[in-house]
Amino acid sequence: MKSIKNQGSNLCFGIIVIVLALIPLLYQCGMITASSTILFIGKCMSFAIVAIGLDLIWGYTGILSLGHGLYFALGGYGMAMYLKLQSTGGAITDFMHIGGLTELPLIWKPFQSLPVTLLMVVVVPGIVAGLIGYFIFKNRVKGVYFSIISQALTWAVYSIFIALSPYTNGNVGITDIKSVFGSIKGNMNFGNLMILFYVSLIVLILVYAGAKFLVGCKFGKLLIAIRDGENRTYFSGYQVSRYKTFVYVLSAILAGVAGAIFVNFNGCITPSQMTISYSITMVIWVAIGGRGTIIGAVIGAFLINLCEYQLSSGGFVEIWQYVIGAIFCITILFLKGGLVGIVKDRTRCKKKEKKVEGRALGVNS
Amino acid sequence: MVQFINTLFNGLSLSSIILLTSLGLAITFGLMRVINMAHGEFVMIGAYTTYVVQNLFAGIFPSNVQWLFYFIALPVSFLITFLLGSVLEKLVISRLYGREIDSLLATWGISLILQQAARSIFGTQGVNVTAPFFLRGGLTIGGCTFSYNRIFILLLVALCILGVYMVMYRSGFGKKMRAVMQNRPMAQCMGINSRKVDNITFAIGSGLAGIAGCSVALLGSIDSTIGQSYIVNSFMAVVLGGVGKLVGTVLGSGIIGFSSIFTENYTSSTIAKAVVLLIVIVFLQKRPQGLFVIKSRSLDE
Amino acid sequence: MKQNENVLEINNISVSFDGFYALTDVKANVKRNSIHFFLGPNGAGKTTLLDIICAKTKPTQGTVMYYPKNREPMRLTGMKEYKIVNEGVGRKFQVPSVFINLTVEENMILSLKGHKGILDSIFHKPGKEELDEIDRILEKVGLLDEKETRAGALADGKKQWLEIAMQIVQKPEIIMLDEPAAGMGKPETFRTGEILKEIKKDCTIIVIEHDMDFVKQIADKVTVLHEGKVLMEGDITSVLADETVQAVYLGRGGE
Repeated sequence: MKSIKNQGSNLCFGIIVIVLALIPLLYQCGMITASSTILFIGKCMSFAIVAIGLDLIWGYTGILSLGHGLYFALGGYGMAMYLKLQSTGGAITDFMHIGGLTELPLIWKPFQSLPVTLLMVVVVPGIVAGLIGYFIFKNRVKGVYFSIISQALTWAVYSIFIALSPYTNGNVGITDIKSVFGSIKGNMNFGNLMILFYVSLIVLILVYAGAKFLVGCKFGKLLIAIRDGENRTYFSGYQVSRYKTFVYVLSAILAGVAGAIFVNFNGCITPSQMTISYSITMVIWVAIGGRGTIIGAVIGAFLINLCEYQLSSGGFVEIWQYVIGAIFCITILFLKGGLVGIVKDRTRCKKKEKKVEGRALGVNS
Repeated sequence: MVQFINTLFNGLSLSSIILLTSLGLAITFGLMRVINMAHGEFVMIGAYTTYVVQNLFAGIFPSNVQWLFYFIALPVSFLITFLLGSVLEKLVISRLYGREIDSLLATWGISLILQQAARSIFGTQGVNVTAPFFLRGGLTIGGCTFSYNRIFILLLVALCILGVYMVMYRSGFGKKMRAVMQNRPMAQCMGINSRKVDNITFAIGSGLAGIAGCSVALLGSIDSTIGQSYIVNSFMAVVLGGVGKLVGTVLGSGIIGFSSIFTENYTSSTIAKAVVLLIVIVFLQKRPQGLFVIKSRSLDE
Repeated sequence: MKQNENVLEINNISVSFDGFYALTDVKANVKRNSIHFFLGPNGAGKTTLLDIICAKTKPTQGTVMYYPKNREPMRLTGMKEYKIVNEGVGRKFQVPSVFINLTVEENMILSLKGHKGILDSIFHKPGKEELDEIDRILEKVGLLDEKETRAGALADGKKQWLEIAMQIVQKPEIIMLDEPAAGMGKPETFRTGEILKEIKKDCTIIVIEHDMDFVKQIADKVTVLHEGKVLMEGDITSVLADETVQAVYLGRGGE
C-alpha cells in the first residue's frame, strides 16, 4: 500500500518533469508562441523548490515559518549582486553613486566571482536561519509564537533592507540583469535560455529526490513525530531542537537556491519578495497542493502560479485575489490534505480501507 | 528638556496607537487563542468607514456641523467591524478553535479578500479623512507642542481600556466570558452558551479594531495596506506582554512604543522600529512566555 | 555495597508552584530490578515526582541520583530530558502519547536505543537483530499483527501497550509508568502485570497505579505519598495494614 502511494507521487513528478522538459522544444516548433511563458515556467520551478523546503519545515515538522521570503530574497539578492556586477564589469552601480558611495561596498566584493556567489547563495540563508533557529528552538519557542516571531523578523529585516538603499537600491531592488548564462531575451539567445531552463530543471529534480529520500527514511518519521508530539519526541531521547534547527536551515537553503534561480529567469529582484505576504503566498502553494507530501508542494507551486498567470494576463487580477483568498481559506477549513489529500482519500475509499480518524492529520498530542 | 518632553509625548502617543490596535488582538489571541491575521483589515475597515461617514455627512449636512461626523463614525466603525467579526466567527473561526496555526492561515485568506475588496471599492490611491476642527493644531506649553489628535487618541485608548476592563471584570457577560476561556467544558456544564460567548468575544475584539481604524484615519492617508503596517507591532506587543494578560499588552505596547521613539533619536524611524522588534525577539528568547506568565502544569500545550 | 543496591535515590526533593508545595522533602530509594510503586490520593504529588526524575519539572530543592549498572553515578536533576532518556531512564505518560501518524513499527523504530543523532537518523537503518527484537516485544504485548497499523487507529488499551513496548525497546535501566493499567480491563491489567514481572529481570520499574489488585500482584515495594510528603514506605502487606494509610487513601476508595 505504502509503496503504491509512493510510486503514485513519483509517477506524478515524472510526468511533470517530462512536460517541463518538452516545453522549450514545444517553443521551438512554435506550439508555444511567447518566450515569456518559458521564463514564467522557469520561475515556477524555483517556486516548486522553495515550496518543497517549506513543506519539510511546515508540512512534516509542523513549524509554520512566515518568513521564508526572507531566505528566498537572500539567495536572490546574492545572485542578483553577482549578475549586476557582471553587467557593470565589477564597477560600482548607478544606485550606489546616487546613494553617495564612491567605491564598491565591502559586502558586494565577494559577489564578483561566480563560485563565491554560488557558495553565498547557500551559505548566507543557511547561517541566518541557523542562528535564528538555534536560539529560538533551543529556547523552545514553538507553535504560533514561532510564526509571529518569524513574521516580525521578516518585517524588521525588510525595513532595514529598504532603508539601506545605497547598498540595496531600496524599494526598486536590483534590476536590469542578465542570467548566469548570458542574456535570455530574444530568439538569438534561445540557446542560453535552454541551458538555464534545463539546469534549473535538474536542480528541481535533485531537490525533489533529496527531499523524498529524507522523508522516506527514519529522519522523515522523526519530523512527523516532532509535529505530532514534540515533548514525546524529547522523551524518546531525541534532541528535538537540533532537528528543528536542521530542517529550518535546510529549508532556508532551498529557499536561497530557489531565489537564485528565480532571479535568473525574472531579470530583477525587489524587496517585495522579502515581505510577509510573499512568504505566506508560498505557504498557500503548499497548503493547497497538500502539506506533508513533497509532490503536493510541487503541484501547488505550479498550479497556483499557472492559474495566477493565466488570470492576471487575462485582466482578471482583481478576481484572482478573491479566488485565491477563498480557496486558501476553504482548504485550511475543510481540506487539510490539500489537492493530494483529495486524491488520496479517493483511492482510499475505492480500496475500502477502513478509515479510522481519517483526517486527523497533524493533531496535537 | 523640551526635546525630552516631546520625545516622551511621542513615545506615549505611539504606544497608545499600538495599544489601540493590540487591544482587540489581546482579546482574540490572548483569550481565545485565535490568531486573527485579518485584524489589520478590520482596522482598515474602521478607517474606511470613517472616510465614508465623512463623505456622507458632507452630502447631507451643512458645513458648520461637519465636525460632528467623527462622533458618528466612531460608533459606526465599531458596529460594522463588530458585526463583521461576528460573521467571521460564525463562518470561519468557530471551526478552528484549538487549531491556532490554521486560524492564522485561514484568516490570512480572509485578509486577502478584504484587502482586494478595499481596492475594488476605493481604488489603490490613498484617501484622506479631514480631522474635525477641534482636533487640528495642538496645545503649546512652554515650547512643547502636543497635537490635539494625538491627545485625543490617548484619551480614546484610555476609554477603550476602561471599557474592556468593565466588560471583562465588572459585568455578568465578562464573568461568563472568562469562565468559557478558562474552562470551556465546565462552563458549558454550568449552562453557559459557549458558542454565543465566543461569538460576542470575537466580535468585541474586532470592534476594537474598528475603533483603532477610526483613530488611525486621523493620522494619515488610508489605503488597502494600512492594516498590515500596524499588525506586526501589535502581535509583538501582545506576545511581549504575555498572552492572555490585558496588563501585559498595555506594558508590551508601551515598551515597543517608547523604545521605538527613543531609538529614533539615533536613526531613522523605520530602522528604529525594526531594531526594536529585533531586540524584542532577542528578549523573548530569555522569556518565551512574555513578561507576564500564566503558570500551568499541563503536559503539552 | 550501596551502589549495587539502589538504582535511584531521591534526596529531599521539594517543589513549589507559585508558593504551593506539591512535594515537600521527599526521600525515597528505588532498588535495582524491583517494581516500586508510588501510591497516594489525587494531588499527592506522584506525577510531579516522576516529572522531576525525568526533568520535565525542575525541583525547587533536592537532588535525584541515578546509579546505572557498571557506570559512574550521575545527578539527574539539571540534566536535559533527552539525555536522561539516553542514559536509560524511560517514562510512559499518564495520557497515552504515541506518534499517531506513524505505524506501530515506525513508533518502535524511533524508540530503539541509540542512533538519536541527525546523521544517524538519515543514514542508519535498523539492523536485523533490532527488527527481530521489535517483533519479539510486539509479540509479547500482542501487537505483532498490527505492526503496519497507524498508531492513531489503535484502541486506547493497545496504545498503552504500544507505549510500554516503546519503553522496553529502549532497553532502559529504569522504566517509569504513570497509570499503565488505566482504561484496561481485569484480564489486560493482569497481563500487563505479568509482562512487567518479566522485564524486571533486566530493569527497574517505577509505577503509579490505583488498582490495588495490580499493586498486590507485582509490587516489591510501595511508597505512599500524601499531600506532597512521604507517608510510609514498605512492602505491600505492611502498607495495606497501616492505619494512617487506610485513613488517608484506602478509606476513601471504599476498598
